Amino acid sequence: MCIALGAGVGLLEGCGSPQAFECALAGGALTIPLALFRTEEFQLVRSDALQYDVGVRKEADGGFIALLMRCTHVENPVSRKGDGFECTLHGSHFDAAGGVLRGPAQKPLQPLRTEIDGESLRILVPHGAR
Amino acid sequence: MHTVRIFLLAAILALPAAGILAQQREKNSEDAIAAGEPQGSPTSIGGYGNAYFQHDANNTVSRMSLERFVLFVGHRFSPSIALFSELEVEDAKISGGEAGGEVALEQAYLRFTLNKDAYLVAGLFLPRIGILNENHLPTDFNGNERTRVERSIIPSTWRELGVGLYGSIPSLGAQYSVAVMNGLNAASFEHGTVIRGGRFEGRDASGNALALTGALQFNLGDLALQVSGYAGGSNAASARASDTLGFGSGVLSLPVYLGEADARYASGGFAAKVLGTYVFIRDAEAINRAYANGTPRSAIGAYAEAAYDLFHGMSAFRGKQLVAFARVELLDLNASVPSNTPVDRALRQQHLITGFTYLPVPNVAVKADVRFARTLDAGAILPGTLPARASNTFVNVGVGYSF
Repeated sequence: MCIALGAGVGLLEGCGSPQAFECALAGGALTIPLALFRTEEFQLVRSDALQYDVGVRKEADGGFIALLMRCTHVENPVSRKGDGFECTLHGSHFDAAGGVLRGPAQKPLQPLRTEIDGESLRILVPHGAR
Repeated sequence: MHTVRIFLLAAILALPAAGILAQQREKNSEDAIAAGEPQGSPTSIGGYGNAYFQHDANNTVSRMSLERFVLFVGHRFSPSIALFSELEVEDAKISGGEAGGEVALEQAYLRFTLNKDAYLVAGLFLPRIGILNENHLPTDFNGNERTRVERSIIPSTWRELGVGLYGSIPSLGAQYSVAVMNGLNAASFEHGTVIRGGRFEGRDASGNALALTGALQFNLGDLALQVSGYAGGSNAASARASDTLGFGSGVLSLPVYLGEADARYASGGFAAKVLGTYVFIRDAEAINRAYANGTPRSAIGAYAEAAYDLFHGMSAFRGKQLVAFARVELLDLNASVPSNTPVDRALRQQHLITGFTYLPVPNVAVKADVRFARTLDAGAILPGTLPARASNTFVNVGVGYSF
């Protein structure tokens, strides 16, 4: 039974998001290693300075999309669901790029600018997103 | 009983602790480099509503209804303490002495954010059971009518007073919830509605019976799986009255058990969901002996729906959706009955619903559907009368919105 439970947890770990990457906010930006995306296309980034996590996805063309995981309907965290995101408070659904699929949200998830700096990815966080 | 009291005491003590933790978190975030109040007003207004036309083929009657007009009001007291509420008006109007219409609070609770992965709620809230309880906006589901399986058996939307803990485990793609809330009132169970009549919905709820609910969700890529359960008492009477009625007393007296499991899949323009649920009322015979309300011992139901967005991938219709769907619902509201309750064959039902949902924008839905309903042949209700029809067709056209 313990083996089955361990196998089950292992299977689930393979299907969820990677552990959230924790980093500090410095100079108005979160800096994460590009190596995180060698095997995963999506990474959750967490900082004590931010109320909400940031979801970062590597695109097929090598670019990155960073989205503030805050529902634009009522301030509530969104969670990853499939390729997109969902807010369980009232059921808003967002696509992979943060666009609204189903209301009641009307605005897309807030995108954050990213820039590659050597072996790192800098996510620029404006004051309003903190 | 002793264990339950300890659990309740822990839950009650957790609330001020949550408030302290929330304030501590606020203080920490104030000390952080870029902390500050979130932008925008701390008070938010939103809502949803729907109206529809229905033609009943058997009875050759049509009706129209402004079924729901709901307002959300939320207020953020601090970065980690917020109020969420929903005020609902059904059927547009309540007029003294006339049947129909309802004004009710669907939710009104405080949320205490403990950390990014967990929060506590306290007040009147919808526990995570089934799909509809948390996804009941008209832009969330296909068809003008909410699913009969969830309305009749779960019975959504179902809100009670209590405290709950909600959280997520991102590395497992999991979300969990556990809540303690007031129990049901078996004296108010009604024939044909299983436990629906026994809900207090926040009004003068008895604390004599209590209930525990829990749910576990897993997101596996495009597939979401959920299991949820409920176990609670339904004896709202005092110990003395219970003795007179022949019941035991206590928070779990006249227990009701409910289990639910569902799976939801969405990829590209295709979406599908299946749900099954079962309710067991252990002491149905004693309830009927006391209240003569035709309580069943068990009820069971399941449905499956497939849908496809015909506009998916078509750039000319970017931002719009035209969803074609079909749903089959099977339910038996008296799957088993105690010896002092007859079986009502009309409560064993099949429904096939098919139609379209058009969303010109994600917040507005125009819906058209047909429901083919069948029951077991119920026979004549009274000697000498015509038997009830075993099949019927309903045509529904309506609109809904959410913001």
